[in-house]
Order: sequence, then C-alpha cells, then structure tokens
Amino acid sequence: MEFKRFLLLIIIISLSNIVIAQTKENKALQLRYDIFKEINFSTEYDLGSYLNNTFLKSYYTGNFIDEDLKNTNYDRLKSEKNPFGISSITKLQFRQLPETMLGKHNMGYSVVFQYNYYQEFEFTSDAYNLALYGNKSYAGKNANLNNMRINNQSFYQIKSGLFFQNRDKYKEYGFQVALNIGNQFHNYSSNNAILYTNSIGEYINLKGEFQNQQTSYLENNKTQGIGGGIDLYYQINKRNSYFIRVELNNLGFIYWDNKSSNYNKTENLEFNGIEVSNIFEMPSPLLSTTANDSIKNYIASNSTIGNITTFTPSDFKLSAQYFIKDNINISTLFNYRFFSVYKPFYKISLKYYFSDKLYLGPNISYGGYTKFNIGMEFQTEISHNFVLNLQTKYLSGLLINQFSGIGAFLGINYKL
Amino acid sequence: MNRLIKYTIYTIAISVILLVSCQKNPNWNTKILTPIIHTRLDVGDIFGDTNVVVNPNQSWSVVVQQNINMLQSGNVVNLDDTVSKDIFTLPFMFTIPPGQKVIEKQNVTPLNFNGMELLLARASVAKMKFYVTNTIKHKLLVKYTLHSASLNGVVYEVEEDVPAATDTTNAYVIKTIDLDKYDIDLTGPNKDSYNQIYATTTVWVHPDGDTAIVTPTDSVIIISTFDEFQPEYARGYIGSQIFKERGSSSLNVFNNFKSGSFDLQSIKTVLDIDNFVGADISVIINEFSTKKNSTSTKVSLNNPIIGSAINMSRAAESNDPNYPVYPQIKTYDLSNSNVDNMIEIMPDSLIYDITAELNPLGNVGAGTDFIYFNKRLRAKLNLEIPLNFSTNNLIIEDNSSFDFDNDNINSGSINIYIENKFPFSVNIQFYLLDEQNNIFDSLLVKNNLIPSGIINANGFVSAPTSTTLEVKLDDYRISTLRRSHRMLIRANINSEQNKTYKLYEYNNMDIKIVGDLSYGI
Repeated sequence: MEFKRFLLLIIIISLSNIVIAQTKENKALQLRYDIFKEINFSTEYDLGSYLNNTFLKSYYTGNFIDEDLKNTNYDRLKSEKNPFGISSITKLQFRQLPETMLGKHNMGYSVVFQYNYYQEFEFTSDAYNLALYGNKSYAGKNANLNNMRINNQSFYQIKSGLFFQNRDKYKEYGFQVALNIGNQFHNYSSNNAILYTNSIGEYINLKGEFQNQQTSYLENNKTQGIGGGIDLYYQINKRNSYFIRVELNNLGFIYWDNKSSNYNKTENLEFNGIEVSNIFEMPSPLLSTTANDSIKNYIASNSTIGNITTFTPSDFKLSAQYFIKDNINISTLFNYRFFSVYKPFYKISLKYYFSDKLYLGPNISYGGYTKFNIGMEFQTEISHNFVLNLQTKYLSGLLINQFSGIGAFLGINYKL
Repeated sequence: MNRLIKYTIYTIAISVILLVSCQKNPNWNTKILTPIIHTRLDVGDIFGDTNVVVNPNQSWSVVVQQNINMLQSGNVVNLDDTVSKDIFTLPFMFTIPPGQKVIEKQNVTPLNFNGMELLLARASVAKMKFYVTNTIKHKLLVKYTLHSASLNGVVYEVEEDVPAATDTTNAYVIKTIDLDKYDIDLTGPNKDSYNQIYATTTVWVHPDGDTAIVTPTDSVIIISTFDEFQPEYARGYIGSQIFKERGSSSLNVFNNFKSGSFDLQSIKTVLDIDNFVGADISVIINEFSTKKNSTSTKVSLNNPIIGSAINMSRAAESNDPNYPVYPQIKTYDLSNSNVDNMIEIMPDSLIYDITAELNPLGNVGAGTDFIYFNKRLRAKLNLEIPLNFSTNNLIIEDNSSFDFDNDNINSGSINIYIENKFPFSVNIQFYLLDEQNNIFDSLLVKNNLIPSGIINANGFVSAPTSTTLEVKLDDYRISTLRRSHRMLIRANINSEQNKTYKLYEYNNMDIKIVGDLSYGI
C-alpha cells in the first residue's frame, strides 16, 4: 500500500514536470552547446536488502547476530524473492565536443573505462530461517527454497562512442560500444525447490530444478571472459524548464572461457550421512563434512565444463527534472535493471539551490535492493572547471538502523 | 547547513570504507539436525571381509587360509669367505718392458658347502671383493677372469690399473665385484667336478708405464673373497641334512576378539604340506598349536599326524620363470580332530615344531637335486568355519582414529539410531583414549544396550529391533572429544538365551549417526 502511494506521487510529479513548462533561468539544466573537453569520474556503491541495517552491519562487521535481530528481520521478509545485493560501478570518462568532427559541428565522442561489480541474492524466508536458525525447526517439514537466486559477477569495460547535440531542439543523443572483459561469474537459481528434514534427522532431502553456472575461478583479479555491449541515451531539455533523459546502459553479454561449469538438472538428492563401510574407520574430521559439502561436491561432479554466455546487468533509466521555483528543482528517476535481482527503483529529489554553484536537497526512494529510504544530494562547483557531486539514497539507513541500505555516489566533473 | 553536509559526507565515506575494506565473518547460533554417518555392520566387518564367504544357503562361513613357510632358519648353503689368494713373485731379477705380461695364473678353488655337491648356484645378491697389493715400483695392469661366473653367456672379467709402490709404501687396489643373478658354474675347468670355482689372474707392466725392473723381493698379492652371498637357487646334490625348526605364524582373524567365549559347531580343516625342494624330504610334525598370546592360552593339535613321519618325494622344475617349481603336495583332513578347540580360544598365532630330513636315502637323484631358497617347505592350513555358534560375554574391541576438530559446536547431542538384525544382544561403549592410549572418558552415559533382533521359533531373526543411543554433548564432553584423537570401541556380545545361531547374509546392524547440534556459524 505504501509503495502504491509512492508510485502515484512519482507519476503525478513526473507528469506535472512535463505539462507545466515554465521559464526558469538556471545553468544546471543547460546543455553545453559550446565546444568542450571534460573528464568525469564517478563511483557508486549500493548495498541493500529487505534485511535492516543493524543486521547488515552485524553481518559485515563480524558481530554476533542474536535472536532478537534474527526475529526482527524475519518479520520484514516476504515468503519469496527477498533481495540482498551489492553493486559497485566505478567509471572514468573522457568526453569532447570538438569544433568539427567528421565535418559535423554537433558531434562529439567519449571514451570510458568502467568497473562493474555485482553480488546479488534472492532468497525465501525459509532459506533465511535455515541459514539463521538451522534446519532443526524444519524436522519433519519442507522448507521452501523456490525461486532462489545468486548472481555474482564482475567485469571491466572499455567503451567508446559518439554523441550528437541539436542546438535548436535542445536535445542530445548518443551511443557507446563496449568491450567487456569478464573477471568472474556465478549464477545459481532454483525452481520448485524444497528441502525436507526427516523428523529425527536420519536424512535430508533436497529436490527441485537447479541451475548453477560459474567460472572456474571466483576471483576478481582473473580474466575469464570477453564480450560486448552498448549504451544508448536520449535527452531533451526545454531550456531552463524541464529535462528528460532516457538511457539504456550495459546492454551486452560476456562469453566465459571453456573452463566454466554448467549444471542444470531436476534433482532429488537425499543425504544420509557419509557412507562408511566400516564403523571402525570413521571419517576425519568427524563433524566437518555436512550436507552442504555433499551437495556442492555433487553439483561439481555433475556439471558440464565448457563456454557459457551470459548477459550483463543492464540498466534502463528514465529521469526528469523540473524547476518549480527559481532555486528549487524537483527530479524523478525510474530505474529498471535487467538480468539482476534489483527491483524496479523509483526516486524523487528536491534540490535547493543556494547559488548557481551549490545545491543540497533530500530524496526519497523505493525499490532496488531494498524498500523505502530517505537520502540527500549535494553538488558544488569548487572552481569554475571543477564540480563535485555527492549523493546518498540511504541517509535514513545510516541514521536509523531499522531502515535498510548503505551506499553513496561520488561524481567529479573536470572541464579541460 | 555546512555541519550537516560535513556530517553526511563523513558518514557516507566511513560507511563505504567500512563495508568495502573491513568485511569480517559474522557469527550466530543455529540448531542443526543432520545425518553424519550411515554404516552397516555385518559379519565381514567383524571377521574381515576377506575371511568370510556366503554359502549357497546365504549363511556365512569364515574361511581362513594360513600359509606357514618352514625350513627358513639357517642357511642351507655356507660359503668360505675367501675364493682365492695368489702371491706372485719372480725368482730372478727381470727387466720387463711396458705392456709385457709379468705372470698369468689359473686358479681352481674348492668351496665347502657343508656336504652339498653343487654343480650350479645363483645368488640374488652376491658381492665379491678383489684386493691387489703391489710392492713393485711400477704401475701394473691386472685382469681377473672368473670363468665360473656368467650372465647370459658372458663370462665375468675385470681389468684394473694398479699404481706403483713407493720406497716406503705398497700400492693397494680394492674393487667390489657385483655378481647378482650370475650363474656360478661349480663344475671346474673340465666341467667334470663340483663345488669348484675357476678363475684366471693376469698381470702386465702397464702399457702406459716405464720399463720395470722386478726383483725377487717384489711381489703382487691378489685376494678375492665373497663379501655377501644370498643364495637364490642351487643344483646338484644338496646333501643329506637334518633340520629342527620351531616357529610361529601370526593369525589375524580374531584380532578384535578380546575375551569371553564362543562355541563353534563344526569346522572343516585341511592341512596341505607342500615340498618345493627338488629332493626327498621326510618331515615329522612334533607340535602344531594355536595360541592366544594375551592370555597365554595354547591348544595343541591332537591328531595321528603329530609325531608321524611324512615322506615327501621331490618336486620337479618347470620351465616357467613365474612358477619354476611343481611342488609335491600331501593333504590331510583334520576335521575330526580338536581343531574347534584350537579356534575357540580365539588364537592370534599358530606354532609349529618340525624335524625335517633332506635326502633321507642319500644321493638317489644322482646330482639332480635343486632348491629355490625362498620357497622350501610350506604347510597350508585351510579352515572353513560355518558361523553357527553361540557367544557368552564375547568382547570385541577395535580402535578408531577420529578428529573432533570443530570449534563451532556449542552443545547438543549425537544420536545413534541402530536397527539390529543379529541374533545377539550387544553392550557397546565408546571410550576416548589419551595419547598413552589410556581410557579417560566414555561417551554413552545412560543406555548402551542394543537388544538382539526378534527371533522366531525357527531361530531366525524375523524383525530388527530399534535402539537409540545418545551421546550428550555438554561442555565437558566436547572438551574431552577435542582432546582425544583415538577411540576404543568395545562390544560385549551375547547370544539370545545362550542358544546357538547360524549367521546369514541378512544379519547385520544398520547404524545411523545423527547430529542434533547447537552450532555456531
């Protein structure tokens, strides 16, 4: 219900932005029709989940997760498709709009080096229970592991592209073609999966449809795949009034090397303990080999080895900005990420311009790896050619641990 | 406002740094219910899988085949150490130019083989030493040809430079000659004798040296000795010898049986005596016993075979290098003796005492005897024990290594679920041993009795009984489990109602070990 209200608010504001065109003077929304050269650096770290920040901080700082914390977070979960994700995108870009390029006056080019890291899980509340409370509470019962997903990958990108500006219609559009250099990939998904624990623990039964694809090394410092991708964008600016941008980033693929493994089976696995032919020859160590180890070994031994091709997480973004007063801007963002557990993301921001060179304002968002959050955005022009932009969606999560999400965006624009 | 901005930036930066760089392992407690081990104890696990067979009626029998190699004590062949000793001197003063022969000497040395008259011998390991002492002040060349020794038809010879003596010291050369696997022809230079080794020694003034002046006081001494000789094979007349031998052979079938008793109903026993020697042997078995060393209990075979002469005719040679001998075999059925008593003491060794006489009738083979020294006389005991027996406080023990190297278990229990399909009840205990193998803790505190399977009127187990044994994992038990790395498993086995039961293939004990654990992640 809360989400529906928020969505309605965003739609109303977005439509208002477009319909009510007013003339406002503000440099922040002007496209640069003059020739320019610039370097942009940005890095964004985004960690979120339906689990709250107290839990996430305990998890990441190695603190003890007590029963109260487990119980509180269990109540926040849905039965299925609970996300937990980390994404980190760091980008260094050079853009130039020369006086002429290939005989054209409105064509520029860009070169980008970008690093992308995703660590994502989508889990059921039963999976949370199994992991945090153990399987004893499921003795004689099924635990639902349906639609579970892991999506971990990291890759570098070298991009280059062209962009075009149209002075009369205040619009810009462009594209970039990317060479993707894959570091690692691991994707796991289950369908119709349940885990049954026998009432006295004599056996544990796991059944369902499982897919597991991974590269031979799960390390970020390897090169194990290569691929390509494309970025597209289109933006229009009603001078000094509104700004709309639609973009598609990282629509591409990676072809992983022939040491990758692929497991795809409908299984009915029963773990009865380690089969020992002679009771007088016990396994050593006695209690470290668990059902989990057996399942992992089973998957490894039943996988096919060879090349795999995967899509990269790809962002579709629709953003709009509008000045409701000379020094107050309202902006919205909708982000849908393909090939990811990232939920549709909505954000609305209100920026107060203290001067042409400085703004600060709150934002409120919903979606992504988490639910509602309140954040803050800040931009300042430190010198005439140096702009610093800082944003976080998770000020609420930082200040109030019952919220969820940790992350920030840092952007630097340097005009040459 | 500025303070708010600063605080925001500071908080974001610190959080990001914290999350990216300081990720540590979180921890929490869970309750795990997991199978750990599944195993099945059957007759093969008790007696050893290689010792049991399933009969056509699916009953079990223990089969023991024990080989006892006899006539192992003492060497049948003894060699004098020194094969030859030659001292070369000249009666007058001679001037000998380089490359000219000083002297050549053939040497036929009789060897003493303790009454054997051997034509051919071969050793698995044979090392000769060749010592040369030179008092001549000139460099010499010495060649030693051992005509008796050949390998694949090539006669052994060695040439050696001998340095010149000085005014004050003689010159010496020592060389080790490897004659492993060489055939040593002992028939002498004319091939008509025995126990003779034939060699030639030749001495030259070294071709690279100066003209030598040799006086009557100069000499060259050449000595050859057998440094090591492990005979592998010999042919000829191996003599008429009497051997007395007492020995033992370990028996592993009942290693785990520590005390108590069981009563066997019948044992099929066959004793084979195999003569692998190419000579007649007369054997008298003075004693054949089983012994349990832990209790010093010994039972001797009571059968007419004891004390009677067993005359074995000679074995024959085959041309198969893998099986070079066709042995002569005599078989004795001991089933109607007291072998069941010998086995019921749960022995760990077999003891024998024999007197054997080689060639009791003399050289009837006219020099065609042979002997392979690694296989001479063998007794082969074949036991087939149908597992139709009763037990009374029969205690079986075994050790098991284990490693409870798990710091994550806080408390809980290990539950052992047992389905017993044996007609025996079992009192079981798991003892933890310290580094000196002393018991310092036992795992089962409450119940440790596993009742027998349910037995019907025909004496068959018709249904298993189910038993749960619990090992409580409190702080003390966890600490003792971590301290220990060896466990003694002791089972006290009793026949249901002290009756005799036959064991079948389906008689077994299904054991499932389940962890019910409070586990720290």
